[in-house]
Amino acid sequence: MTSLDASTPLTRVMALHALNYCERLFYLEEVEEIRLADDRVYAGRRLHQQDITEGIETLTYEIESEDWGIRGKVDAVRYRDGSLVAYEHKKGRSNRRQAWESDQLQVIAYCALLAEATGKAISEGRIHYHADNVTVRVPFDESARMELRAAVARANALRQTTDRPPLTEDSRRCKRCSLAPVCLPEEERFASTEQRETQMDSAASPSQAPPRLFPEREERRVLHITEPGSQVERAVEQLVVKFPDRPAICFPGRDIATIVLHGPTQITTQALHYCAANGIAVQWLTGGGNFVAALSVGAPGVQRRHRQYAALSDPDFRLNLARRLALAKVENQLRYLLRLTRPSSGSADLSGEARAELVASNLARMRQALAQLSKAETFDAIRGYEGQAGQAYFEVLARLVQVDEFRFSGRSRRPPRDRFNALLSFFYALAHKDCLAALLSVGLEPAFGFLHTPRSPAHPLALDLLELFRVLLADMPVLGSVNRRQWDTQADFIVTPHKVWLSLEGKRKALSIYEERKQETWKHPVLRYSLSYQRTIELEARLLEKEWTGKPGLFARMRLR
Amino acid sequence: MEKHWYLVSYDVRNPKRWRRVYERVRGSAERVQYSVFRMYATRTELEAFRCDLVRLMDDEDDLLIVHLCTGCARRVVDTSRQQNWNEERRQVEIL
Repeated sequence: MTSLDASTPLTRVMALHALNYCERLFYLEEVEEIRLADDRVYAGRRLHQQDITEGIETLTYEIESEDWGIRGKVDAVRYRDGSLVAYEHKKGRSNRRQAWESDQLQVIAYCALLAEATGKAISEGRIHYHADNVTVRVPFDESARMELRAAVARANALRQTTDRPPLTEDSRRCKRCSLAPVCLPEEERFASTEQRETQMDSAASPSQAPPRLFPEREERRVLHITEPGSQVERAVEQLVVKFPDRPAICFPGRDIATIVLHGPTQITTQALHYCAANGIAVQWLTGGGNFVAALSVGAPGVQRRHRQYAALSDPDFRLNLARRLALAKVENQLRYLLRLTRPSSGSADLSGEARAELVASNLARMRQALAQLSKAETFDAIRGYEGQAGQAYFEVLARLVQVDEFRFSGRSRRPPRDRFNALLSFFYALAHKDCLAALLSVGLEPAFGFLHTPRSPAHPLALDLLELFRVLLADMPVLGSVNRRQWDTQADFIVTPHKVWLSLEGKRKALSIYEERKQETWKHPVLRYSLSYQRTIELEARLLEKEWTGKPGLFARMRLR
Repeated sequence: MEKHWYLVSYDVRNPKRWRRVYERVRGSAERVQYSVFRMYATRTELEAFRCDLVRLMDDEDDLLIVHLCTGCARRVVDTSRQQNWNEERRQVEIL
């Protein structure tokens, strides 16, 4: 008998199936509690409810066994040749009329449960594959028992560690795995082949782009509630938005990904319960666009935080990551300016000699900061060079504004003193909330960053992640929309002598420009597949987590072309 | 994962079950006529939807789901209301 103390939880038989398929899958589902169902999972569940119940006596209760350390629900039990047989039904195909290994382990576990529950001798289990209508017999003998014991022992051993097991060797399994978008197996394989190639310094075939298993875009919708006095309510499965002076609008609840509440707008507790249960993100912003709070559900992955704390407590590790992030930010800024000031771009109004000189000198300052950054050895040095580059960047950016009302002289933050800064601040706030939401959904601790130091109420790790997206999600759409004259200088802004901010109209326009930008797809320069900017935020958050889960190297390598 | 249009219709024989099915359907689909709905969903969403409905419906009840290809969805004749089948659905609503 395995020595089980009372604190070891019983392993679900389904989890044993996962364990045999891939140890990483077992760990993510059972230990880190990340569960994602794809269409095949749902189809399988439906099969269990619908097709196999006809004319068969099914067990509707769970069987537990302290002795084996497992629990589970047997699909069906029948008398065959005078003894009981456990049946397992599978939606898919058999392995050339044989059972798949993981299915075999699963049915062996059911046999063990059934033998203990009924006290009768059980000699075999059977698996029915519905896709090709094959029934396979699995003997329940001594070797089967040993296999089961070994699997349960392995499961319990995995529960004790905070390290994720490695990827499965068989990459074909990842294609059919519902957790691939979380685990990012192909990206990890890509990173390790890339490392090997650079070590060998072979000029031979450059590594292939990894096959995409990460969804290209978020399919569900985003709701921004901006009208003061409106309220989000729940009507069973629908979300209803009520307004003070016009009819309510209903949305099917399953179609919503995020609700953002701006300023004095309400959401009912019932609606919050629904959002929590269905994985809908809820975020609150002030009327001015500053982040207030976000709904986060359930216990965060404690193993993920352990690894984060351990990694970021190491000063060298933190410094390396901070340097890489600062390099990414400055290089993106520089590339954006180069793109705008290219003679062929035509958009830049750099006719004057003096102006051209100013641009050239600032670009040189940024290049110099880049060179210094790559050698920087302290956090203060990194922040210093990053700040210098930022100053130079905004000095040039200010010259590229072609609309007189939007001219500005450098960045002013609290409060924004001109229209351009008001726009930048609002866009940065929106991007910050998206970065924070991505970190929360990935299960990282946003209060523990590596480049930024804590100051309330912003989360340092979210500010860190934001550095990657400032140019892409804020600077580019803001400057573009200003130069396209999309803004109404009077109606969209409220101007006072000391401060400029956006009117309700202006905020709505900003939201639609920002959200449109987020939906645009681009090709990730390193991973070389296309995805929306919205998904890129989550991808970078997951790659950041990989920095301290054993497969570093992919975070903060995205660059503007 | 791509989204497609589906036409959903059901026939439920018992008022209590009907209420539950109706409410669940409204969680994923928009009503076109009394028990005719339209749904814009990915494969995963469709399977999750069917999985929920199997639990709520009985053997004597019926469910009809018609997958409309892009061309079919464009040629739908729907005089009932202002719903637009042709245009790409807006991903973001600013209210």
